[in-house]
Amino acid sequence: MPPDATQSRHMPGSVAVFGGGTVACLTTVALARALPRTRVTLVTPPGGSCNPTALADLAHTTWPGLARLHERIGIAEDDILRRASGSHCLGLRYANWRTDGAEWIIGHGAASPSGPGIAAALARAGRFALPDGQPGSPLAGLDYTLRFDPRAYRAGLRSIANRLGTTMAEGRPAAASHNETGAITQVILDTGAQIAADLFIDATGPGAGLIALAGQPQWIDWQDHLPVNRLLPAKDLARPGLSMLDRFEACREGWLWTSPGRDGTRTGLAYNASLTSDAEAADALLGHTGASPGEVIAITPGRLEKAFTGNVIALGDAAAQFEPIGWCNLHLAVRAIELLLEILPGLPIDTLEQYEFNRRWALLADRTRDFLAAHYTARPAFAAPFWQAAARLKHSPELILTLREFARRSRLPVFEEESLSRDAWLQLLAGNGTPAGMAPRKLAMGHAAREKERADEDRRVAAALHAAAPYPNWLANRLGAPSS
Amino acid sequence: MIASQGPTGMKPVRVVIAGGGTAGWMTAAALSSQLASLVDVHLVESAEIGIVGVGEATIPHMREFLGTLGISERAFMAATGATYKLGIRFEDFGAIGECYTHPFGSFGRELDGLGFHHFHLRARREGLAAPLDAFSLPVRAAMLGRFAPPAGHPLTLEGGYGYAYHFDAARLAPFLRTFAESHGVKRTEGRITEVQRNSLTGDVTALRLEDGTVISGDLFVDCSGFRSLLLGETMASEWEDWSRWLACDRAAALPCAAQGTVIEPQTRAIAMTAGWRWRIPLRGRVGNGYVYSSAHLTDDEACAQILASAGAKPLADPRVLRFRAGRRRKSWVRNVVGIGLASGFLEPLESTSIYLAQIAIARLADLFPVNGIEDADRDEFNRLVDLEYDRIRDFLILHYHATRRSDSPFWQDMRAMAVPDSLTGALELWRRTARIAPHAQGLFHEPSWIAVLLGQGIVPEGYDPRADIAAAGSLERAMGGLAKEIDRLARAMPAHDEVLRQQETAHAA
Repeated sequence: MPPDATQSRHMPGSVAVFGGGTVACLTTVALARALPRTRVTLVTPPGGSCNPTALADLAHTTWPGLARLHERIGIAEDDILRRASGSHCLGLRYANWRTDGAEWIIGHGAASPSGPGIAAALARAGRFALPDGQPGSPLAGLDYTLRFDPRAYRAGLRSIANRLGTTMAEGRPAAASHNETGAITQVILDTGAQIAADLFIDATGPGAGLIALAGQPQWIDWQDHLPVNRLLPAKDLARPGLSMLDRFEACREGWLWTSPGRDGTRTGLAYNASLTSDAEAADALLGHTGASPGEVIAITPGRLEKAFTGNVIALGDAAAQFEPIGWCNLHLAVRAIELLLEILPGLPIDTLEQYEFNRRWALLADRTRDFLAAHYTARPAFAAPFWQAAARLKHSPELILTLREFARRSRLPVFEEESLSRDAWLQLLAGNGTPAGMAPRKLAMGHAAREKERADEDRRVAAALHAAAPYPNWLANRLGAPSS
Repeated sequence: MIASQGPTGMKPVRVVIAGGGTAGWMTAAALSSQLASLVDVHLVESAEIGIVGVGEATIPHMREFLGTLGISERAFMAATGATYKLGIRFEDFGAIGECYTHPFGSFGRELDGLGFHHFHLRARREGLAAPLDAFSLPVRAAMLGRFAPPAGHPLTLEGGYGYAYHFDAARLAPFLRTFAESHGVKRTEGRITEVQRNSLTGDVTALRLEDGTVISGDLFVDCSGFRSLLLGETMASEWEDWSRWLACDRAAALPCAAQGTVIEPQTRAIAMTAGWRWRIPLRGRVGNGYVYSSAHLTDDEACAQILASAGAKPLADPRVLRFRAGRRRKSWVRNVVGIGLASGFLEPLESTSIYLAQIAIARLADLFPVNGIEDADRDEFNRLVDLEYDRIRDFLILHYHATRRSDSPFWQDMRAMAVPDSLTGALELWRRTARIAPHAQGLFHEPSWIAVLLGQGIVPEGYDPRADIAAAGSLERAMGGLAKEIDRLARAMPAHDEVLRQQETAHAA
């Protein structure tokens, strides 16, 4: 063996996370767990408030990946159910997107080779069961996600961060001092206080107030790919509900979301400001849902070219902004936090490691964008400027390949990073009416074998329905059980 | 729309396979069984053109191939005289006297999402840990000559590894032929004397044989080996030469008698002064061969050296095979698809040649042109095949380049060569941060790279600093406990030759 030249790199002695929302709090807990010897500081806007235009922070639900992160960083589902009005959600329901008016569902977990997956079938019946890892169980491929009250959820995360010894500070980044390599040594807050750290996380939402101090970040515009640039949430929550599905309904102006939860039902309108004025949007929201309009949120669809610049890493809306179909905004942030945990930068920061983070994050972000863009290959029955514009949107080469392969033989090409699951992609493309060819192997199976596959699936669905309980009963049971 | 139609009423695609070696019969078996009534497969082979009958080593994907075809391991092993393989033992590559194993499995256990090798690098720096080999169950088992198939969850030690086979390559094609013919594959014996083409489209329309037989088809699969009759000669798909990185272009193969009863469950690759030699343990004999660079060694010297180093009774004279590293720029041109050596060649250092045929067959079945070939089908197939070749190429180059040997002009050249940019980038990332960039497609993931990089002495300057969190004492205890547990599990496995003997007894009964 050669003489051993391995030199240890250092862990950051201190990390400062900026932002008051879900993304900042999740990142703080994740880092405090991963780096027990590092001083972690959470710097929130005054009063611990959250940027009201950061969609990843506003999100009250997202994709199942959040549960994986929870498990990894020690956040108990029970706490979310009990303290943050948590409830379970099995998928997304889409209405009015197709010319024929047919609805479709993206159920969480495995898509079935024929017909809807288990999650979709349970959701339709309003039933729920936890996934069962035993192979052969009808609930084996099932997955779910949580809904929660973001404010209570954040408060829970902050109290965990507190317990882990996180230092709390308040203020907004105003200026920064740099060392000779250009890295930020300390951030000066608008209160005059100074926050020194080896590594900074910018989870401040749109505008990325912190990473802007690290250099001149390049923004990649997605306006040619995604049509929505305004959101109008309802002013108030509608009455609570326990539906197993979030609803996304196409309308002339764009689309509406309706997401029931135990603390109330969230609803709102997504549209394009150049085609629909804010006043028209308010009328449309009232007309479609009967809800009074809240505060308009402007979105600039796009992402940072490099989320990791100098010694600052941007996460959440600071790094990428896009319309919240399925609240992928929080999902991308979750994937970025996982990537951060995988490639936790040692000191001195290595440019190659930084390059790896940026390369992989960019692939995740672009694939998330393509997943949203793929929704717009659907054509609603009504003609409206929004949908005419949507029909002219640009597709990335990866999305073109995806759509083409699906149309030719129901195949999904593999890409180096995938943000949403293949099952979600399959259900989206099958659901939104993308013409689907049959895979050669499946075609070769013959009619009888395909019928048998369908019958097997029907049996699995029936067994799953049998094993599940009506969700209100299931939840009451769970909440009635002693806290674990 | 295809979706609304069943296969009934559709005319089967006439697939003509040129060449009946391993690749040809693998293709025939897979297409006929998986695409059933969609295809009408016709294979043309000539007895005059022999099969390269050396011992063949595989990687675990071979099991997947058999599984897809519904062929049992038992039947395959009995028919081909197969033995089990847990990895490859590399000797003298990093430096003379050094050795390591590239197992089918990862080392150690992840801890809090951080790869084991980061902890091992720290322990190594502090002198606390046994060599990496001690932290892999397949490596320990192979060293002890023991074998058991993985059992249990893939995240456990007992369930977390893979295995492959060594087998007699001359017996695979006949075995698959029986299978393919039972699935309706037609076979014609004869030498191809003419390739007929459509003068407008350039598509191949038929093959004419010496006796005048004309075999027409819609899709032609070139399995003619190095000759690349349809893809290279007819379609003139350009050859991309990689010999500047992979200099070995000859092999002197030498079958030998087995010595004693011990059958090692691993391939051995032993570096020589102008290349390396393989040792593949089969039932009843051992395959040996010297893969060398003809620019650095004559055929006679190579034959003399393999005879001298094999250390067992030769069963035949050494036979020299010639090849070159590289691939056709396009594996699918017009209606001709090259599979196996007809589309490219990468030397057997990591036992990838059957895998390359297998993956091309699987992609062809995925993208099979049921309703006529579109440009997009060819582009996607070629993209996927290229990706596989590129990844394996870099990994092979690593074995030659990551060396401190300077004892011969060959190794001096290997050490000094300029490697592809993709490999330079991977080496730099590893050296500085002990990270391997993951990839979603293609062979050889992080554990494989770690095995070879550390095995050949490329120790990174830095590792993930989270590995420094644990106290030295508890790290040492955890490492020691893990190595002990792995050793215990390996020792509890039966001897490999005993497993094989029991199989034979069961088969005979």
